[in-house]
Amino acid sequence: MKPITYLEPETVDEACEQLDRHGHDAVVLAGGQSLLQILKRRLVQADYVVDITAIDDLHELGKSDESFRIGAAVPYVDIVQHPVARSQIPGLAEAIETIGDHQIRCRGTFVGGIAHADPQGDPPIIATALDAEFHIASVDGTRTVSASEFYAGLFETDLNQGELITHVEVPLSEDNEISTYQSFTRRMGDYAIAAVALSTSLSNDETMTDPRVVVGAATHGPTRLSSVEDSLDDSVLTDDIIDEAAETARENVDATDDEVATAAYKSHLVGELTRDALESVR
Amino acid sequence: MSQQNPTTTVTATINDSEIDATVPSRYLLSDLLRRELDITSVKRGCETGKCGACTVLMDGDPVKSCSVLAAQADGTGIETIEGLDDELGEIIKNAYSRNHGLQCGFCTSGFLLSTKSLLEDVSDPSRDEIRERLQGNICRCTGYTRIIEAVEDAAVRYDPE
Repeated sequence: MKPITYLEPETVDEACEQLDRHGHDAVVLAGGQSLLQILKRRLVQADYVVDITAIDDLHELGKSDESFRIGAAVPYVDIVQHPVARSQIPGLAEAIETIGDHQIRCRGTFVGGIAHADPQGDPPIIATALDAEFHIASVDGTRTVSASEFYAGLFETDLNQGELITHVEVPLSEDNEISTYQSFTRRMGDYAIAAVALSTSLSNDETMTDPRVVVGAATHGPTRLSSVEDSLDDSVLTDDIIDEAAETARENVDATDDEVATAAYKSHLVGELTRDALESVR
Repeated sequence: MSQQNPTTTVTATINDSEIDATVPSRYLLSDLLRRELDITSVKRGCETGKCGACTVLMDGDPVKSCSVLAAQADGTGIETIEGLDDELGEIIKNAYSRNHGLQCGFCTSGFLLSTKSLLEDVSDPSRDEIRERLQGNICRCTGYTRIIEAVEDAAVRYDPE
């Protein structure tokens, strides 16, 4: 790794001032499980590393009004062990449990995964399905942006230079809300080749309302499959509806071609993962 | 502070000894342990966060020391296998030896520490739990079967009371 200056602000304001002062030359460090790898490989150059984990406010985790709040310094392991996350946002716990391995989940943070915006990363995909809101701070003040507005393509986000995501809020589902995360990897802990996240309201007679179906890893960033959502909205989860949704997903996903898998193969996976997601909430 | 290579002072407890070291800020925790403190049981395998040979316990949690800055260890307690001399540590080391849970030994320090963290959290883990918790450690010799048997053996012999 190239020489760096290590900064450890104690407040969000101090962090924002440092990010503003150093501009392009600064990067934000939380758990570092992705950042340190890309710094070592010199895929990213930075003279200043701003470690935000000494900021007490960013360690917040838990229920806040109608949502579940995850601070930027909270590691993955703490989220999956939280009773509210486990019981009310099952898709979030399922997504996190597929990330890396135990050591990586002890250090890595969900909000870091959100900001890193790797198209194969799991946090952006599940955050988009859960309609999460990202709270962003800078020297100019604070703002919020929804997950679906945040991601704009391959490693492209709405985050500007000098901005810091302080926390993410996941709306807490009503009693009949359910979510799930299905992904396909060649080995445990690998980045996914394709992933489908689903969040929906599901009545006792298995009628879906306002489903959100988000595909990722196979695409340039998390993408809602509106054609699948339309085919599921106000429908009862029957075998025929599930078959139709899987087929619609396969046909409509704009999958990428790369050295790991062809677009046709990824489209097939997206169809099957859509089926798995619907079967799992049934 | 040199502009060319800024430094950071790290104060930490390493295997019950207090250390106070001033190292380049770009140093990884594995650099601090090996270069500065000569704790060479911490192996550098892949240095990309995949292999787990450099695993140490940081405030009780297993972490890959190639994926943590030395500066991030400031104020923490670090345990390497040199500190595995308590009852659980001895049980784990003996179980690996008895069950042939190692061959060349390069990955072993990391496996022992991951095993300690597992047995402290779950004293009677299932095979699936063992596999899941050792997923971040790669062994190129054993094929894992003997390692899993060693962990099961250690769990049987370990009584957290």
